[in-house]
Amino acid sequence: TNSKFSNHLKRLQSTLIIAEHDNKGLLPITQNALTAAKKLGGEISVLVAGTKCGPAAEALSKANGLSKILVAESDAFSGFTAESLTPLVISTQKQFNYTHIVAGASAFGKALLPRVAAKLDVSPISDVIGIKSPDTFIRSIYAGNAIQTLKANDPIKILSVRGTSFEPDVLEGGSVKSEPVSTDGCATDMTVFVSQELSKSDRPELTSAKSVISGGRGLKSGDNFKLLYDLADKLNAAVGASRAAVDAGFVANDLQVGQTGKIVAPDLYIAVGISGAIQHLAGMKDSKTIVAINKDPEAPIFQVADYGLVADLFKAVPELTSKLS
Amino acid sequence: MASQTQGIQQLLTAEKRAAEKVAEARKRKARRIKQAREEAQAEIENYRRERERQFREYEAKYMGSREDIAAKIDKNTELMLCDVESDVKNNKEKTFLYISFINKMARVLVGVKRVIDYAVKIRVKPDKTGVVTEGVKHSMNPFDEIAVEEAVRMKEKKIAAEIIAVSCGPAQSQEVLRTALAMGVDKGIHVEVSGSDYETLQPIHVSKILAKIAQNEKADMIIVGKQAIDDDANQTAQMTAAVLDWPQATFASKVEHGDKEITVTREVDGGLETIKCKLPAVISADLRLNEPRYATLPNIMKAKKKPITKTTAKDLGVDISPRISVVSVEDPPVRQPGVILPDVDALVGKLKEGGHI
Repeated sequence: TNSKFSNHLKRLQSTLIIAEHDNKGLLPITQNALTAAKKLGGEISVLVAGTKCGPAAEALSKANGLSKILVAESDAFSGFTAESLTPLVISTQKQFNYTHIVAGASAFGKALLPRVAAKLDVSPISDVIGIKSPDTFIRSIYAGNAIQTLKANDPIKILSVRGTSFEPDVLEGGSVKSEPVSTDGCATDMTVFVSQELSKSDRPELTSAKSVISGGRGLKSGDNFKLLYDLADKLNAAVGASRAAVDAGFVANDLQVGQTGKIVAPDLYIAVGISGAIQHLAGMKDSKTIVAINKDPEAPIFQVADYGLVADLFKAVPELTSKLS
Repeated sequence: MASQTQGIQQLLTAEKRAAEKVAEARKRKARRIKQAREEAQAEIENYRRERERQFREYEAKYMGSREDIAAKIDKNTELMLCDVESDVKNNKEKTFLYISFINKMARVLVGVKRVIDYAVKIRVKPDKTGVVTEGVKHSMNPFDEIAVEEAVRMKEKKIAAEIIAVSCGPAQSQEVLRTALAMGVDKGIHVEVSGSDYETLQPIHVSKILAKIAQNEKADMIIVGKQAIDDDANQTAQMTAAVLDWPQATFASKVEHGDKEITVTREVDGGLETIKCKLPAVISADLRLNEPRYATLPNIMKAKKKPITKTTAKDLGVDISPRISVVSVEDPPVRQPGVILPDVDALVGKLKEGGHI
């Protein structure tokens, strides 16, 4: 009877995923969020809001297991501000009474979900790395040095999920039609989006790349990062950096891997000239294979590395690049 | 002799006549002078009259009659008084606006949290209820130091009038408030939460407390760190903004202050983004917003004299009943020990073996 009861509960559950997109297409973290939502059980709806929702809704329509795709297209959502999206999520929640609201733990999800949660008087759960049951979740605390399992007591569970902890949904086999939702009351002058300055790169995106090569203070200058770019091109890898390298101005902020930057978990992570401070390890220690290249044999990075090479990076990296061709 | 007498008589007569003539001439001269004087006076009088008439004409032409002038002066006085009055009124408004600018636009609240120092390798308690905090070095959450620094810089640029630091937690939270005061904050508010209440205290509770204090203190800006390095929640700024229905500028790496708005550069995935927020607003500080100062010894001494008021969530009317129960806190999975490779060839071999190339 217990399992029957819990099955009954699962049927009563319904999840709203807030899709992340850039008006040109769906962003990959939404596929990870979709996998997490499927672990919760129950019906799944996706809300796509933006100034141009067609491409994202089109991609989502192929996902299997969705019951609804809600589309809110309005100029009010220019810049995807939390101030304009919150009333939309609240009105959608009031209409359909979801038990769970889920988004990826990206800058977008992190800015939006807590605002929605406070409006619903619910305590949100950030950066979930595991789902044990519809009300029991796993997340990391203290920069990944402890793993907390918690039971949420609030009637509505609002979760941001760590992309690297859930496989991306393949977006195949489905054929759900989109339906428009009202965007009344979403326009606000509280916050106005002005502009965006995105770093352009032909390489794979850092958080979803299969391989990542990161450089630290040991690179000595921004110009020397070219050594890593050359190696990255051979491996079709993304390039990341430690906070030291970012603070020294070698590379842009958005390449930072760590507790305060991006959290990555690729198949292969090559740390070059990175000592391995706790804050950096928090962002990469779930990588499947970790390689460290550092001339200091005492560097803490060797304690988490599967393969270590104690060598001068200025010799080892070009050699590795040439041997990969 | 007779002729001599006759001659004398003639001389005397002539002399007499001469004297008479002189006297007559004198009289005539005096008369002439008198006449000339009278004529001149008359002429002056005429000229004066003529000028006066011209003046009156001019006066009449340009200013109206005397009565009119008096009325005009009265009227002008009245107008001037009116002007003075409205000036006072206007300036009063301006002064009021200025005072309210000082009071309203520039009262900054900063949230500071006491956490285990970022450099400490934490240990999980054997009973899996949490991490060991007793006897472990604590300090201000690094992101909150950045929030405090930003507020202090606002005060140094005369944008902020007063900075109030708030910390929710056990008695030791006063240490981080003292640190904030030593960095340049004006006063501290300690919201005492301890024991099991503190173990389940979450951003939802802290944000309601901050919102309440912001209202009590008539704050116009709240700056907090983007996340605490213990719970890594990254929620408080967003939730505080929601409770107050204020705009939020999260993950700020640059804040420019306008008249009634701020322009904020945010660190987002893929790069930077610029937004404008109306004041009042909540800002969450990213690492690159600034480089926090070290408190100097004299400032630490001065901070001891600055006030810290104590209150509780209950006094503020905020319910802090737990929203979660902690099932367990455990160590993360331990990685298998790795190997040190002799050279690049060995590394290439391992990468091939692992299917990475």
